[in-house]
Amino acid sequence: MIARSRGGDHRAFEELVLQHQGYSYALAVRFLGNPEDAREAVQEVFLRIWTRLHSFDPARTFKAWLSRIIVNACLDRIRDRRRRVALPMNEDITRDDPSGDPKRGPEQEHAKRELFHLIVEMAEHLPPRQRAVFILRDLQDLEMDEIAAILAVSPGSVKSNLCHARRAIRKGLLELEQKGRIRHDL
Amino acid sequence: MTCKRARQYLQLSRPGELGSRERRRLAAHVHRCSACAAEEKANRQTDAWIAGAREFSPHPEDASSLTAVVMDAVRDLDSKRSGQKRTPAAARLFPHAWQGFPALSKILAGGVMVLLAVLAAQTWIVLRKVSSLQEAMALSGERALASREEISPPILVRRAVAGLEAPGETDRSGREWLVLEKATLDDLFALARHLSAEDFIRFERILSRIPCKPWGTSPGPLSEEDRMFLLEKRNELRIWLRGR
Repeated sequence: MIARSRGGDHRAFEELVLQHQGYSYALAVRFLGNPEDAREAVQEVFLRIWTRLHSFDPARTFKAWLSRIIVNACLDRIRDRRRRVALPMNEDITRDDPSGDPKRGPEQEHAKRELFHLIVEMAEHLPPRQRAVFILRDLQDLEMDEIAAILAVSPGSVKSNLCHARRAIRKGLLELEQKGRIRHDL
Repeated sequence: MTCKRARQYLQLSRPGELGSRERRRLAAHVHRCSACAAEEKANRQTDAWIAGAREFSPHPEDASSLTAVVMDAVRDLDSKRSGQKRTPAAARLFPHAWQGFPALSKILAGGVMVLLAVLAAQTWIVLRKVSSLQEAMALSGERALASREEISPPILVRRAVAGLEAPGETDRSGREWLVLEKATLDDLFALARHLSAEDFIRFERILSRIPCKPWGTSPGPLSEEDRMFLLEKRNELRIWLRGR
């Protein structure tokens, strides 16, 4: 599919985008916290990929290459715009997912969504490398070696950055709990 | 294991983040250190919150429209690129004619190209001529100037004065001659234009008798009267010059 896309085959590239759009969007949302920004970032990333497919190294996995481009694009956006991560009042990032747990009440869903945004907002204050490692590991749920491949760093560096990032996030969460902004039972 | 190291390891709480040996050492340390055990407990709570945040994933519908949007952008980009490459010059120069009569617009475009080429060639020829003239002027220096009259009077006077004050030459019989360089003589003739008609005639007559290098000698030396006249006129010219 990648080889055909490289040759300028639109249909092959469409399949490639279709295959990775969910993953890419989810990753971008976790970085940017804002669905509109995430959509823009993903469009920009796929356009960039279309024009730079010739530079893709087949020795690497496409997902790692894609993730790296998304991470860089998101970090650039965060740095450039210095936007606060906040949902627009009229836009719900999660909506009512029919595939979700039916036992969850709407109140709990809302609280968890708030929690997600609080964590993403806290992550925004981390240094870029720590932020990337934390989001890829704790929100995107990637394996340590995948993260090392995406960021082109050693596994030791991933661990070290993760330690620092988690310490900062945990400290922030406990402070918020003391202020009563997080429910203990979540 | 020290508490510092244990608290580092406590951050790596998810499966696969610590090796089995480190996990065992950490468990042993936490078992006997109440402070680290308390931190582990607090971490469990924050881990639960982070896990809760991880459960949230954006709605798939939001991503489903992405492929169509991306592909539209890709096609747009490609058409722009190909448009830039493939639109003929004739279509860009005469878009209206191109739509109806492509052959005519090609002929028109060809004509424009030929006209531009001719203009460019003529401009090039003129520029070549100008540059060769400039080179000639620069090479010939003062001699390339159209005439001595083009040199400003102040320069002429300065030169003529210097020429008249140059030491004379003495012949075998001991007579002193006023010998001028041709350039000085030319300067003096040019200056004579600024004299009155009567003075001009006399001035010219005297000058014609002055021996000149490299043209040879005149019939005889200047008389004292002629020499005085020259000096007088020279002074007049100086005064005239100051008045300007």
